[in-house]
Order: sequence, then structure tokens, then C-alpha cells
Amino acid sequence: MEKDPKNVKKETTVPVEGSLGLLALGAVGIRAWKERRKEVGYINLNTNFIKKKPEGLKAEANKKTQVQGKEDKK
Amino acid sequence: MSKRKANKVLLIGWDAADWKVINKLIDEGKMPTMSKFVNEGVMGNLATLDPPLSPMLWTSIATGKHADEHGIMGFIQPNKNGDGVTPVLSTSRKVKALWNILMQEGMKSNVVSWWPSHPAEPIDGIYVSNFYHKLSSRVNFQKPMSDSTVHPKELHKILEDLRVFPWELTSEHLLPFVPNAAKINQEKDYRLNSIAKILAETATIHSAATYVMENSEWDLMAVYYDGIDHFGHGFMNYYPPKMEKVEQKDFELYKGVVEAGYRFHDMMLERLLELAGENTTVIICSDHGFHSDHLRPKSLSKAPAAPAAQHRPFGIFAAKGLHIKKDEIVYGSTILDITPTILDLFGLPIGEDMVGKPILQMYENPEAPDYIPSWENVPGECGMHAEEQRSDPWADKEAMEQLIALGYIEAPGEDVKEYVDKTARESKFYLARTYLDSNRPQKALDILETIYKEAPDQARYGQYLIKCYLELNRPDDGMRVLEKLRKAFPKSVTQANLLEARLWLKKGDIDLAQDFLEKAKNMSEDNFTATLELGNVYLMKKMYTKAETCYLECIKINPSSPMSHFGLGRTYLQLEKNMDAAEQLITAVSLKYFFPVAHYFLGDALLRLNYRERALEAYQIAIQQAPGMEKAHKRLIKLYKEIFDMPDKAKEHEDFIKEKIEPIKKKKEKA
Repeated sequence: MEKDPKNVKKETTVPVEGSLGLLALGAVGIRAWKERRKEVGYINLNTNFIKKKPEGLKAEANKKTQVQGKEDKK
Repeated sequence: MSKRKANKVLLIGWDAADWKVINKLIDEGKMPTMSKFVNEGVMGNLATLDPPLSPMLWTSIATGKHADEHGIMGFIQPNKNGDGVTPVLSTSRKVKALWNILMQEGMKSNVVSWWPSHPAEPIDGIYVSNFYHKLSSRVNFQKPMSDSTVHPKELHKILEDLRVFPWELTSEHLLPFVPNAAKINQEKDYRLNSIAKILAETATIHSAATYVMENSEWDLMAVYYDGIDHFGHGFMNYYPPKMEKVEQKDFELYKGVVEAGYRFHDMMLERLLELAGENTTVIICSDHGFHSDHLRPKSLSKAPAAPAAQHRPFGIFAAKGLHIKKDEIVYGSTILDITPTILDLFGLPIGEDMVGKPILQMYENPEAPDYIPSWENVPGECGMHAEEQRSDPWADKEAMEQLIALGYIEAPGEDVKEYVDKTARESKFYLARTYLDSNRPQKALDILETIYKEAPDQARYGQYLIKCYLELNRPDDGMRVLEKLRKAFPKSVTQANLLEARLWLKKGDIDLAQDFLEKAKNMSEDNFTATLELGNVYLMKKMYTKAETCYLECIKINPSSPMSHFGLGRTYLQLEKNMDAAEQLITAVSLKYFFPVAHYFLGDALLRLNYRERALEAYQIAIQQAPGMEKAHKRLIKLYKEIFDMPDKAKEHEDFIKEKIEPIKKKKEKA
């Protein structure tokens, strides 16, 4: 049922860092971007651009949201 | 039988989208796709409902029914065992949604991320639940998708791989939102992380939507985006002009986030329209607006769902397609009208049990729609869940975390039972507000009395109970509750004075009402409600100059308040400033078209100015909107008899009063 992705010319129009334009293109753009990263062995080159919350805070938030079944454990 | 007016319908939901922001960006050439869209179709306000909470509203949009009918109450619900809570689920919806009705009529629907839509419903088409785009920010973590996220299951893997994770985004994606991101100290400031999460989730929704549009046959494609709402709650306080409480440094960093969010939605819209093709009728709507100017709340309370105070009561409606007018404005629509409108576009009858009506004003040649008593009784497979279906705790967790992060719900404490009870009470509170909002105070009364008794520490419950007593004409009971509130919350004086003024007004003591309103007004600057109500009291007491001052003050605070222009128009009528009165009343009805009494007074102003035909038209609109408005019928009788020499027309109205209005009046008198 799936159609071929539209003509997204990887070499010329798909920057390895991606772009808002590719995201706005939807599935076709996102696939092309993911494939492009795979081709060049690009893994999270820019991960450090967004630093996540410190683990402690995150763990605390998780603890607070684990509500279901808590009574059972008690 | 009503004819089919649309080959296919694309319904795009943009949570919290607001014309105030969109119009500005269109004028600046920053939303070119939306600009072209409204030029080629119609646009208008879409009135929201109370309480303005998105899961309830989007379900009303998809069913044409109030929350007490459709069953979705707030953001979370107690789970079936009563030992925890879950986000609201599609299994809690008690009535058929648009896609269920279409399935029964042999049509195919695709539904992406509607809120709430988890677990996915087995409809004839593709259904991607709202848990699909709930992503974790953990680096390199691709949270597995729950089995019940996608229908049919063979698309599970394909769609799972199409998600975009926050940690995948780069400076290319984020610098348009925060050009000076490098200046952020991310050890202390996590807001860039929030932007990445919202953007990744929005792109994920869009990824699924575009995939299913391109790779399936469909009659209806319904897709819901929550990005504008989330950017709003996180960053509207930094949107220009700078709010006093916002630090200059933060303002400089984050002032462009909301605008970039809208512009990204415009880019996505271009792609959706391209995939939909020319022969598809497209509707864009939002469930409510979002304050973006001086009306932004200066602070939010800690009560559950408090961020809803940032919502504006009017969302957006825009539509284009075959048989739809071009470059026109439609008035008086509500979110309850979307489902009836789409049924009518497909040539299907509207359920008489739906509260909304089709937006016929949008058509070049409107035709009367068809009706059936209810779609609920139509037999046959419709793709709804069996009631006993359970929620998925793994999938629930990310959704719960997001609701807590947005401030919509509290993080649960240690006492789970208390938290569950609180959630149940909160759902009842929303149900009571739904009853009050739809003129059913008697139904709200028991609920409010019960929850206020159970939780007297919740001022909101007491305040709404007083509103309910006011509606039921029981001011003495309201006074008793107010006394308790004053004791329990001695700091909430302004709100208490406002309520006391309303109670005295109901008891017929205008002077005391005036005293309390003056106190409420003097206690805080820019107290819009107290000033407006004080204007009304001055008008009642024929203190026209003071009334005029109050209304002008209100218009200064909020130029788009229909009630302020209405009050000022009525004041000018009393002062015989007829041209000014007409101008104010025209403004009032252009801001809120469904406003029968404003049309009536506009008729009076126009008549005094000798615009007889236009006055006739205004009275006619008044009785279209409120058929029982006797005084408008009487004005029409006079006009038809004395000016237009049309005795037959006059008789029609005389008969209407005799046959329809008088019996009701007599019944009321007896009661």
C-alpha cells in the first residue's frame, strides 16, 4: 500500500543536521533525514546542544507519577 | 435529502490557536499559507465551552455534544480499580464520534492524535492514538510504543519508526525558536529542553498524519496538533510586549518562541494542503484561544487546571472548499458546530441530540440540513471500543508526566486514595460547570453542594455553588455559602465582594450591589469584571455618565469585549446619542454575533436614525436568535403595520405571540 517517498534529493537538499523544512514535509522529509544520517554514520552529533534535566530531578518526577498499583505494593 | 457537498474532508485541529496572533503574523507576511487559506475561504471565531479544558473540548468538537453526554471530564480519571489515576482515554467516551458515524455510512476515516484517543479505535481507516506522540527526553531512548497505539496493527512498526525524538533535534531546528540559545545556561534553565520536546512531539504527529494521508484512501482525515497550546503555556509570557514580571534577559531569549511555533504550523499546513489536493474541503479549528496581550494573567493559582486561565474564550474557525464562500467572515459558531457541519458536508443527517448546528453561513448557496433523532441508535459496527477495555499503564506514564509538567494536574502525593478521591471530585466539578454553562443549574446543584461539603478548602467549589444559587434565584442560600467563604478565605475579598454584589442584585437591592461593586473595583487595578458590572448597575440606576465612564474603562482594558460595547451602546441610547449607540451596538454584534438583545437595541438605534430597513433586519435577527423575545416581535408588528404597510406579516408575529409566547408566560406565572 505504501507509495515511494517523493523525490527528496538527498545530496543536495537533505542536510545531515536536518531542518524545520524537512520536519514540515512530514513522513517523507523525516525519513529522508533519518536515512541521510544513517548513510554518513551520524549519531547525535549535536546531542550536547540540548542538555537534559539532571537525573535527580527526572527521577523525582518519575517517582511522583508512579501512582498505579502503589497501594498494592504497600 | 441533503446533498453531499464535499468529496473528502480534512479536519485540522490546532489546540489554542488564536486569531489575535495569527492575524498579526498574516499581516507581517509570516504565515503565507494561512493567509492564502483565509483569502480562499471563510474565517470566524469559534466560541468555546466552560470549563475550557482541552480533552473535554476536543471530544465536544468530535461529537457535537456537551461533556455530560460524551463522558470525558478533565485531564485524568480514576482507573477502573480505583487504586490510581490514568489520563482520560477513548474508552471513556460514551457516544459516537464523527469517525464512528462515518464508518456506519461506509466511509473511511483516518484519525491522528485526537485528544483523547488512546487506545486506538478499530475503525474503518487508520487510527493513531494521542499516546503516539508522547515522547521521553532521555537521550538515545526510543520508548517502545504500546500495542494499542495504532490501528491497524500492521502499521505499528512503520509509524513507530517515523517518530522524531527531542534528542534528535539539532541547532538547525531550535535556533529559529531561540536564536541566542548559546547564551542559555542549561545547567539551570531547562526551557530549551521543553522547546525540543514540544517541537519533536509536533513533528511526530505531523509525520504520522502525512504518512497516512499519502498512503491510504480516506473520506475524513482528522488530525490534532497540541504544539501551539504547549508553546503558549510555556512561552506566551515572553511574547511581546514584555510583561512586567518577566526578566529582560528571559524576554530577549524566549520572545520568539510562540511566533516560531505558529510559523512552523504554517509550514506544516502547506504540506497538509498539498497532500489533501484541491478537491478536499479543509477545516481548521481550535478549541479555545490564548491570551497574548495585556489580558495575559499576571499569575496563576495553584488549583488544578489553573493554566486554563490563560485560555481566551474564542478559538478559530476557517474553511475552504467546494461550495464555500471566498474571503468572507462567518459569525456565531461554537465548537459544538464542527461535527454537524462535517456531517452536512457529507450529505448526512445531523443527530437531533447534537447540541451544535451546521455552519450554513459558510456556503455560497445554503440548503436546509437533514436531521435524524440520534446516531446513537443507528445499529451496526462503528469501531467504538467495548466498555471493559483497560488502559495501558506503560503508555499512560509519559502522558501523565506531560500533564504534570504543563501544570494541568498536580503530581500525586504519597496518599494515593486521597489523590484518586480528589480526581473524582474534580471530574464532578467539571460536570457541574458543564451543566451551568449549558443553562442547567438544577442539575449542577446537587453535585456542587456535595463536593463543597466534602472539600470546603476548595474556594472554587463554593464560588460555583453561589453562581448556581444565583441562576436558581436562591440568593439567601448563596449568602450563607458566601459567609463561609469569607471566613475560610479572608484574603479573597475582591472575589467575595463581586459575588455579594450579584447576590444583592438578585435580592433586588441595587444600592448594596453598587457598594460592593465599588469596593471590588477599588481593591484592584484593571478589575474588568467589577467595572463592567458596576457600569450595568449605574445604567439600571439611570446614572448614565458614570455608566459611560465604566464601559469606556472596560473597552480600554479589553477592546474586544462585546458586553462593554453593548453596555455603552445602551447608555448612548438613553442619552439619545443615537449614532454613537448604533456604532457601539454594531461593534458588539460583530464581536459576538449570537447576541439577540444587542440586535434588538441596535434595531432601536437604527429606527431612531430613520434606517427603517436596517432596523427591521436587526429585529428579525434578534427573533431568529431568540424566538421568544416578545419585545422584538412587538417592534416588528409596529414596523410592518405603521411603516411598511404589511398587515399579513404583522399578523404572523401577533399569532406567534398568542400561540407560542403567551402560553409559556402563563405557565411560568403559575409555577
